[in-house]
Amino acid sequence: MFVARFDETMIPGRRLAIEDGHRQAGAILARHPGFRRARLLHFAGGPYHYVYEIDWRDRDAWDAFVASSDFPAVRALIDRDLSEPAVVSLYDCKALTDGEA
Amino acid sequence: MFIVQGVSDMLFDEEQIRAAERAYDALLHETPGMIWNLYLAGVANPRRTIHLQGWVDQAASEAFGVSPGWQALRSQFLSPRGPRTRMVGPLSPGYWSPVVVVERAPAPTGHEPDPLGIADHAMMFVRPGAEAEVIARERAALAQLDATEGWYWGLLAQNRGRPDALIRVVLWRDDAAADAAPPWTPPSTVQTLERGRYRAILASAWPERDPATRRR
Repeated sequence: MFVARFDETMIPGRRLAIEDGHRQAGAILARHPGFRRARLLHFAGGPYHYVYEIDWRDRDAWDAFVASSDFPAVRALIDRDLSEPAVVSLYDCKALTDGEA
Repeated sequence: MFIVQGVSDMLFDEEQIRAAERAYDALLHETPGMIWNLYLAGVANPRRTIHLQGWVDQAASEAFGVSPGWQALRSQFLSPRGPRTRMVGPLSPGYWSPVVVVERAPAPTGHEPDPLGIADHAMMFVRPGAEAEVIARERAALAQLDATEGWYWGLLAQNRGRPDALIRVVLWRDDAAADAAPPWTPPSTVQTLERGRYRAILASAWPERDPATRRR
């Protein structure tokens, strides 16, 4: 599995908008082959920081998504409620443990 | 209880900032779920302000954060030259959970020039893994305040997203009481400490909204 992580700092007051934007982004991502799951995490220690993690089957699936016309659309939906563009970092998954569903 | 803390530095227009803080407090008078609201101004660094709020729960605080009243008021902290204040530190604003709360007497409410008290405020990052040991030590230290005069309340709170981050606040009647207090030494596992003395410049409390008070 390959994970794209977006580190995000919200414009104050946009909490509802940011959640809506990521729901829309998720709907676009779901159309792409190799997309597994996306989740928006809100930092529990303060109001403005979010992490958006997108799981892909492998790096090729992510690269194909980045090359598609949907990538700028997803970025725009994510970035519109942020005080600066999200910082993207990419990870290879090396260990995975599933617990209770 | 759910605590929000914002640490900020004034950049310019102190009068307008203080007026905005009072307008903010006035709005909180009408806000369900808000239990207490406290502004502290630095003694050594008068540009530094610490804003602490106690809410019934996170949902009440977050509902206020997107409310039309607060959205309208937020602009009072801005100016044509840009923001009048700048948030300071990685956890500002931050969400905190009370770990220890001790109270000797209800703290006065109002705003300057009323005597509202003097706060000893410390924010610390402890060595990861040492949190429980530090909490136990501070719990014992705050319990010892009982033998001391001239204080209103003490608080130890832990950040809800960074367990290694703690704040400790003791509110004293005045400088003389704070000076006479037994000295507090930070735990040896503290890696970063920011500590200062502050004047309480605005305080409001609505204890009747606190479920813990109603249970007593």
